[in-house]
Parts: sequence; C-alpha cells; structure tokens
Amino acid sequence: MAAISRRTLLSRALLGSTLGGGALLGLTRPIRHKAAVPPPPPPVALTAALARQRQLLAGYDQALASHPAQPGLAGLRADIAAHGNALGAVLQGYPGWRLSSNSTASANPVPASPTPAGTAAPLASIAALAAAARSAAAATTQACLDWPASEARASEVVPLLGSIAACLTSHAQVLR
Amino acid sequence: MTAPGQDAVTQALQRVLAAQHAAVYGYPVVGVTLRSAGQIRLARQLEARHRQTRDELMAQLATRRVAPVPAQPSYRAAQPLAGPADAQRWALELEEDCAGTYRYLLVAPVLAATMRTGTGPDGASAPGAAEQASLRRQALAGLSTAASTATQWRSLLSPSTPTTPFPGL
Repeated sequence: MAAISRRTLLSRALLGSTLGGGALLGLTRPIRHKAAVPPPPPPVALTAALARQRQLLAGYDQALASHPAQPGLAGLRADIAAHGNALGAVLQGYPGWRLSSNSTASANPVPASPTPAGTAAPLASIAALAAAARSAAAATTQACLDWPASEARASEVVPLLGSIAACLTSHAQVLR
Repeated sequence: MTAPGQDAVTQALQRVLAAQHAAVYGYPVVGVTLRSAGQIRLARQLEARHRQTRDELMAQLATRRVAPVPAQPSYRAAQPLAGPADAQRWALELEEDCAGTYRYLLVAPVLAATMRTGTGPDGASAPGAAEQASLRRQALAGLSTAASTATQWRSLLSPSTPTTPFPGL
C-alpha cells in the first residue's frame, strides 16, 4: 500500500471541500428559466395589403401571359411589384413578421391565379384587373384612414398606404 | 400662438396652398400652349378645380387664424414652353408637386400626434382625433386626385408608363 503524505492528504481534503462548497452554493441560487414569448403578430392591415398586392401581381402575370402586347400592362405590373417590396420592407420592422416569414417562407407561396392563363377574353381580363385595382384602392384607402397615429411606425406606414392607394386609383383609371 | 403639433399641420397646409397657387398660375399658360381642343378643355377644367381648392385652403387657414401664404408674382416651368409637349410636361410637374404636398399633409398630423404631450403657451393642444381624421381624409383625397390627373398628362408623354408606383414621393 502506497504511503500518502500528510501534505497530499491535506491538499486533497482542501480541494474536495472547496468543490463541495462550490456545488452547494450553486444549488442554493435560484434558477431562472427564460420563457420564449413569441413577438406579437404584425398589423393585419399591412399583411392584408401585401396579400392584395400578391393577388394583383398574379392577375397581372396572368393578363401578361395572355396578352403580352397589351400596352402599359408591364408598367402597371412593375408598380404592383414595387408596392410589394415596400410593404415587405416595412413588415420586416415587425419581429412577429420576421418570425412567421422565416418559419413559413416555403409554405406561403404567392397565391395562384384564379383562372388558368389564356382562358379569359382580353376585355374581361382587363376589366377584371380594373375591378381588382378599384377594390384594392378602396381597401388600402380605408387601411390608411384607420391606421392609428400613435402606432410606432405610423409616420412610415400612413404615407406608404396613401401613396399605394393613390397609385391603385390611377391604375383603375388606366385600365378602364 | 399655436402648439408645435398645430404648427406642423399649418405648415403642411401652407405647402399644399403654395402648390395650388402655382397650378392656378400655370394652367392658363399650359392651356394657351396646347393645341388639342380636348387638352385645352382639360387644362381649363383643372385650372378651375385648383382655383376652388386654393380658395377652400385659404378659408381653412383663416379658421386656424393663420395668414395664408401668398402667391408668387410668377411661376416658371423647368423648361421654356416651346410646344404642346412642354406644356404637358409642366402640367405633369404641377400635379406631381401637388401630390407631394398632399403626401406631406398625410404625415403632418401623425407627426403632430407625437408632439401631443406638449401644449402651446396659450394652452392650445395638438390636433384631436377628429381633426386628424379629417386632415387625413383631405390629404388622401388630394393625393389621389393629383395622382390621377398626373396619370392623364403622363399617358400623353409616356404612354407605356403612365403611372408611378408612389405618387407624392
């Protein structure tokens, strides 16, 4: 049997008591678990505006596929695409949107066109686009009027919605 | 003296009025430079409409006990009006300027709301909810009208791109 010196015995005892004391101290401290609270969802008025924009964009894609030579249609589609980019940029400021768009990006594609391309008559298709533009303009105007002035991003959102509504009104005028 | 919030709204209304003054001056000049009877008629109609809007704004500012900004002695287009296309271009500029001022009027009540806690020396407060809603309706209607009128002129100048995605910007 190996002999242990008194110095070794004492140092091991000291080490053991230090570790034991430290462990006891750690156990007595309260443990705080951070509960993961999801951020609030973005305002419905903004997500609805984006949904309208996507629907209009799908309508323009369908109309352009059917009537690529229709004058002015590509320009109007470009406006709608710009609206989507601007709305998306504003929505990025809401943590709830970032969270939901990250988790459902692949499961939330642009809505499909209501009818297959090429089946609508030219005038009916343009008339449908005009009606959709009028409806979207009215809805966006109302969203702009209803947006609370006290909301954190109101100075950004109110003029954006106002400009989009005015643009959609002029679209309806061009398509009429 | 008015509160800071009221000042922002008053400034915005003065900007709208200044743009209307320019349009009231500009449309008769545009009208005599145009050649198409339909476009001349449109210019006359728009002159009358801007004149009416100008008068309404002056009355609105008077109710706020503010002296309306006066018209300048004359206004000039960015380029000399050598023909109908230049006249159409100036008409477009006039409408785009109007749209810009209405867009500012859209933001002003929102900015005023952020100053709501402050009151002026005479105790006047920032615009209330009813006035804010009224101003926002006025701004939206003006922006939409200016955007639609600008589209009419733009469709003559650039038929393939008659609209702009963000009127007033």
